[in-house]
Amino acid sequence: MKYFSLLSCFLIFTASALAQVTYQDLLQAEENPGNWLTYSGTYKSQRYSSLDQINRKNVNKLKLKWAFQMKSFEKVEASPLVVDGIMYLSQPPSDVFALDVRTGRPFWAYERDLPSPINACCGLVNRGVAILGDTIYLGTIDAHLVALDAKTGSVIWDVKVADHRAGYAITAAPLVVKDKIIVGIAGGEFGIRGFLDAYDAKTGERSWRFHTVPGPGEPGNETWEGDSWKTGGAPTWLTGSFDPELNLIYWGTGNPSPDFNGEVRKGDNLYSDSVIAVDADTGKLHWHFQFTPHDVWDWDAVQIPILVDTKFQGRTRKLMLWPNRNAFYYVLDRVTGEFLLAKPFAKQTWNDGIDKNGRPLIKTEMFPSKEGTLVYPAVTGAMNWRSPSYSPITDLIYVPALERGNIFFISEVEPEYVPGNTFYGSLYQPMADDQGFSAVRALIPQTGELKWEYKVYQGIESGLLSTAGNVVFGGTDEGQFFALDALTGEELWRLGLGGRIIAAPVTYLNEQQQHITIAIGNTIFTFTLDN
Amino acid sequence: MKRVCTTVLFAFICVIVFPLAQGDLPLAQGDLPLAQGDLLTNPHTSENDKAMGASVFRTQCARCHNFDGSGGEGPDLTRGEFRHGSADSDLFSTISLGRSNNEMPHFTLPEKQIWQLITFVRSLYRAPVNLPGDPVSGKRSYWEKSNCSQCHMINGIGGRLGPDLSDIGWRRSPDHLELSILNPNQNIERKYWLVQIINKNGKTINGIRLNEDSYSIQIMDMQENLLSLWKRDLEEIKQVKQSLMPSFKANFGMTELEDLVAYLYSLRRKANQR
Repeated sequence: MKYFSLLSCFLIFTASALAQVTYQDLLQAEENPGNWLTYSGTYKSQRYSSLDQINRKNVNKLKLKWAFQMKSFEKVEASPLVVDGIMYLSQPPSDVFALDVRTGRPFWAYERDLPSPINACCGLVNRGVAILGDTIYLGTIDAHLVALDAKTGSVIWDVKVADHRAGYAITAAPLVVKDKIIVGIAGGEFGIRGFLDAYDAKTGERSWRFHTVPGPGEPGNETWEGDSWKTGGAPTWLTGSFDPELNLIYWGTGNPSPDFNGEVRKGDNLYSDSVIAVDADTGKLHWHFQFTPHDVWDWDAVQIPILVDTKFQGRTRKLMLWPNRNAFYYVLDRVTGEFLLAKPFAKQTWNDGIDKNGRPLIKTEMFPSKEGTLVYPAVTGAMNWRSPSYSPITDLIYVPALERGNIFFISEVEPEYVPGNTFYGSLYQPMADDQGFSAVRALIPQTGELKWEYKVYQGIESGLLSTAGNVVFGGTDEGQFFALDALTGEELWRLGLGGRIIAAPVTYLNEQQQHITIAIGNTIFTFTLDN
Repeated sequence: MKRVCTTVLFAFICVIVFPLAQGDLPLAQGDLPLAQGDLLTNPHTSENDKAMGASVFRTQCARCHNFDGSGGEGPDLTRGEFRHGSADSDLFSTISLGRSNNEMPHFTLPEKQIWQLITFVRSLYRAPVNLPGDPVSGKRSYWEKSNCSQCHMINGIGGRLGPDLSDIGWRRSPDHLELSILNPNQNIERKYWLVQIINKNGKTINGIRLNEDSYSIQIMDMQENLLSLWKRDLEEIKQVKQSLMPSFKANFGMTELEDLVAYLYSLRRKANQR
């Protein structure tokens, strides 16, 4: 009997230990590349892995291990998490699967019953989940945060973050910081008032909220004319980063509302199109940097903040690297927010340079007009939200860049705010004869200079992953999944899988073997080396 | 080929037509207060609604339907008769759901804006113009004299290098048809641009481009062969904004031209007719 009790204790311990992800594990994710524990891999969000079994010499021997077909026809934009042989994967709009990494077979599914209708600007999408302990955290398209049991998918708690009927939605993967779940919000096309939230991981109770559009009496409110702050947008629809030493969470913010029409919201419109650095415990703002003041081109700055400690002008600094939708590559000091560098990485026509404080000298003749104004980059920017990657061993940042312009129009009629309806100031049109092209561009982080590029015919909308095997993985709109030499950009391998690639790849170990997983079309593909 | 074209077309619409804001394509359906076939009437028909609708039209619709609604890449909207149904509910459905069998995408607009748009679209109505030409003579000219069917197909008969004209009367205005006959390069859709390919052996292949990605290109050559070529085997790919169709300016007198336009304008195969 005693023996039996001991054995059962051991079994229980083993079972719970298997799925346990502690805050300590998240802090040490870099040293444990066998798992993929956060949206971007680690708190630094470099989307880099020190795994090197798959490398530039053997990547051409990659073989499909399994594919998992989703039931959803929405776009799949998610990166999965992988913890000790189990993959946690979201299916749009707001479902979660736990899959066995060896077979691709599901252990369980959480399928959310959603209200109807749900208005989201750009598809009912989801970009992934977070994990802490034995709990999976999911932000839903109807703007709830849900905690699920990692072994069964049972709902532990479900809290309303905001009112989806007013255009609020959650599309980003949450970020676990200590005992809190950090959640961003979407809805910049619906005139929401953006925020960043923290919730208690155990209870779902809200710990703090930072409004990305300051209210009356708060600093920054003066950058909004009249009451325009009330519908100011500045959503937080992609996952941020965290520096545990500084205890700062970094998060990008999206466009001011109404989109494209700045006439009804004169001023810089803080903190839209910015990066904010907030205290992890209180949500208090430490610093901010605005990339595109008074944006009229829809250039959300929600990109992944890449944290790098490297030499800059002779000394090692805590840096933040930021290829922005507005076509400039930025380097900031992430301790103070000091502006260090901005350099275009794609064609831009909207400014006459950037001053010493990082403020662009905007050409007002590039504002949207009744006749239409041709502006570079396009509305989707020179780099949209897709993850760039930084490799510490090549000391290069890899950027999915888009070379394209659009013609921006302004509406003759002032946009009317109706909660839950789109709140556009106008629209843009493509150029009829020039569809542009995309390229993976490898930039030197300290200068923004181009080291190499890999051009493709139409679009690279996937995120990128770099590894210690000196391989950069990514994919094209055309469904080609490719592996490039991280040092030269030479194509080492590719495979046509037929679906649009808009997710980012991840890598991890299972049974001591390196795996690569990416969503292509509505299918999840997992590759290993053909041994 | 139809499938390839459809794919290309779909990709084209996805890539460039939709408003991108959060960064992506609004593939989600918008509010849909009506089921197809419901006969609700437009509740927003005031002069102010029309003005609001005009603004939406200019930014969302004019690119294909032209600023005055006379059509271009999209159908002429001034006839008061619409290909996918002319009831308010039909128009609502066409705008909010799009039409899967052609270039019309769906638009995620607030319900009120869609009704206002419909009010404006109805205001575009122009009384039918009696075309001066004789469609019977035009038909004779098309099939017997002008060689049009060498490149154009009507109801399954004819060539494949030019656009299928079976329902061209729905899709283009008489002015547009006339202009296309006299100056085919003026309003040519990208998919009918001439593509010139030179392979590594110096051989030139002309045709139209059906599809393309970073590594390969699919074309129809001048003999209507479907070819798929690796870009690595090619020396050069030139896409020229030029139609394969010659100008017929010198071939037609005014009467003959009017007859041909009248014939083409009469081609109205129904959308669901096979």
